Order: sequence, then structure tokens, then C-alpha cells
Amino acid sequence: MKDQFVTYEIALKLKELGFDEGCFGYYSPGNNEFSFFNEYPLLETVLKADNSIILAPLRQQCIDWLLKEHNIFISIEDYTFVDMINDGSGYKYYINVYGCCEVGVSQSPFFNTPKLAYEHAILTSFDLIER
Amino acid sequence: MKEQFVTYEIALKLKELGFNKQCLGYFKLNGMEQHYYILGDMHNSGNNQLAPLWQQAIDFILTQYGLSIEFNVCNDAKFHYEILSWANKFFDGSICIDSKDRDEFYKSLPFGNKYIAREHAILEAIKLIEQK
Repeated sequence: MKDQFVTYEIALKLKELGFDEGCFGYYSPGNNEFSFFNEYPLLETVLKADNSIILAPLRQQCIDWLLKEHNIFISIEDYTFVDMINDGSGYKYYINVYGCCEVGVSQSPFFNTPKLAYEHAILTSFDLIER
Repeated sequence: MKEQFVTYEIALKLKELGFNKQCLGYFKLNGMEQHYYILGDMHNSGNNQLAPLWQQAIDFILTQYGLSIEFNVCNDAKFHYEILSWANKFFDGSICIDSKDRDEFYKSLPFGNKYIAREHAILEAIKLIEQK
């Protein structure tokens, strides 16, 4: 199930950007070790009480948070069967920052999995936020 | 956190379509209205119904049935989705080398928010799979 969560790198960046919503898992600082919170009903208390941990949102939580907090919309598009000789093949991402700018699919590299495309898109979004 | 999981209706349909991956939660079946979540990695457990995440549902429909659910945001900040597939171009197993046009099975009207669009998109994709 760990692959349903964002990477340590993304989780760390989200913390710096102020993410502090309820999560099912977390990373221990220093060793990047992923753990589940044991008892979900206590989660809200846990995350508020212990600021030393790094919350590990689900990928969908991260995407939703970027939309809610920064008006950044991310979508993944399937180009798995495009001409493999001339165009490449895989998944691409699209980023739209409302009323500001967009990163079109033509600017996205190809990725082997949607997960990798999402992760790259999220990191690109962080760059947009920090500009 | 319940909002991270698909609805009970979608979970049931995904099970019918063969979804049996690990999940973080399940619906505890105790009458028609009981929805209960518990944390932990699990496959189907007895009479309880697995509760996939939204992202798991979309990934499952893509990897198992070749339908890509893609979302777009319009200028008026409305969301719509498209359900696309390359599958029809590969019915004979050949490699497509000349087309960038995918089969567009369905394009939705705009929705006021992404979450409603997502739920509609998954239900529509399931309907398409069932019709095949």
C-alpha cells in the first residue's frame, strides 16, 4: 500500500508548504521510514500533537491540496500507444494554474506509469509555487 | 478521511469487475447503511466489502480495462472528464504508429467541482465496461 502515498521528498516539501491535513501514514524524519498511523480515529490528535513527523498524504490528497490551496490543477493523460519511434510512449501530465499559467502535455516527458507522471507533476507544481 | 474512499456503490461494482487489491479500508456490512472504515492492508475479508481509494479505482480501470479517465478544467473553473481508450486500435495486437487520436468514448458536461466529476467519471467508465 505504500505506493499509494507520496514519496518522502514530496511529503517533506508539502510540510514546508504548510500541509497538515489528516493522513493515514507518515515518514520518520531522518531515516525516511514509512509507517501507518495505528488508530485512525486518533489521527487528528496525533498529527497536531507531534510536529516532528512528516505526514505522508495519499497521492490524491496531495493533488486535491494543490488545487484547494494553490489553484493548481494536475491531470495525467495516457499516451501509451503513441508512435514509439517518433513520439515516444507513456503517460504525460498537464498542469493548469488558474488564471496564471499552464504546463501543457507537450512540455511533459513520457513516464512509464501514471504514478511517476503524477510525482513529476507534483514536483513541477512546487517549483511553480515557489516562483 | 472517509472522503478518500470510493462510495459503497462504486466499491461493489469494482468488486464485480474483479478488483481485489489491497485497501486501506473496508465497508463493514451491517445492514444497508453501515459504513465503517478501519486502517490496515487487506484483501477481501469475509463479508466485508473492500473500500478502494479513488486513485486505486481510476488506476484499476486503466490497467485492467484500458480506459483512461482524464480530467480537464475549463476557463470558468468547471471540471469535465473524458474517458478514452486505445484499445479499439489494438484489437489485432498490432502497434499503432500513425495516429495520435484515441477513441473518445465519453466526454462529460462540466461539473462544479472535481469530486463530483470524479465520481461520475468512474460510474460512467464502469457502465462502459459493463456494456462491452
